[in-house]
Amino acid sequence: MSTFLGLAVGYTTFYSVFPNVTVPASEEPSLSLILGVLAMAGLLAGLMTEDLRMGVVQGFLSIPAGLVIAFALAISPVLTGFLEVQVDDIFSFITRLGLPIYLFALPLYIVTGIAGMLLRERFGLHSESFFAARPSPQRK
Amino acid sequence: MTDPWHMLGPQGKSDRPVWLFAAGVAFVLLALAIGSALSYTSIVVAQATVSISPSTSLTLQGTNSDGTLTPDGSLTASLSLRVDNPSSRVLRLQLLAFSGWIEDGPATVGLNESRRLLDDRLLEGNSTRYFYRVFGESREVAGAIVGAASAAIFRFTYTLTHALNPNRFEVARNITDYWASATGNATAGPWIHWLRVHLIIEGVPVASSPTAAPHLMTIGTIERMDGTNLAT
Repeated sequence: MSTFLGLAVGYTTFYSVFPNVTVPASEEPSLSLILGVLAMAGLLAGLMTEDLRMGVVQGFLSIPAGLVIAFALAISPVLTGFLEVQVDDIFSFITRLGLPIYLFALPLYIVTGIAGMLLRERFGLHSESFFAARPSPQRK
Repeated sequence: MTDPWHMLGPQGKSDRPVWLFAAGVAFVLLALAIGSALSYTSIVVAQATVSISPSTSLTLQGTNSDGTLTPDGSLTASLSLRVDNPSSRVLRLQLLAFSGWIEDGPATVGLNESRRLLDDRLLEGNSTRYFYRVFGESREVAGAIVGAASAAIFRFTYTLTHALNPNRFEVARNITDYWASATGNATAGPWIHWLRVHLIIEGVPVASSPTAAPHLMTIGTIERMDGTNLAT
């Protein structure tokens, strides 16, 4: 779950730093896209989480995971051998310019995660073994 | 009274659809991330590998029998610019700045001291060579596309006539006359050119806001230069 949340953080961080080279590309980062991606990821994580404490831990773990993913995206041209910038410069670039996303994602994940858990409670969702057979309807 | 939080009954529902939806969202996010990495990589490759190879030639139209320019003649520099684009991005030639200098023979040998002060200089060891800028122009180019993984050749001409710039044309005539008398060929004088090319990488929106980060304004453009810029 932390990796899923980290993927959202990593993608939105990379998008906020390089909005004109990402998919989709835009002149400047769109706040609504960033909010939408992070909020949806947080809500889904909450819907799939039963324990509040675990949800908060997942939110915290998603930040370093997101940093690693954003860094991996930023150094991806290294594989072609054409990136002439120092790797530690890219790391500080991604860390510094992505800081607003990291600071913003954690409280957003906690709020949307709690909302997701409330919805889970509201709809009475419960975990089920993925490969378990569906229960047949009982006759009276 | 029914508790709205437990309207679905004590048994509830499986969260399997939520997991499937989350898997779909994760797949979309992963696809966007991989697509972004590929897009970014292709832009970096384009910025690193695109090269230009220009060639120029000089022709005189309207000449006397000895090859020197007549007052109603013209001097034309033809620029052939080849752009090699090994990358997977389509490029668009946006801006071309070109300057061309001819060695000012009369100034160099001391026949024209006043122009020597105004000429651009090329230092070679202990000696100084004097060059007169005949052409200096920057133009926006429209519709010049370089396809992905291909090369394109663009041709430009720069003309100088008495009508366009009388002072510059008379100096050019004086210099070409000198080279015609000194070498027998009016265009034999050494030429130096310099050009700067701005290419736009298609599909990379350039930030238009003045407060945008500098890297957002430059990442979608490629700048290449060739030759020696003598302008001071």
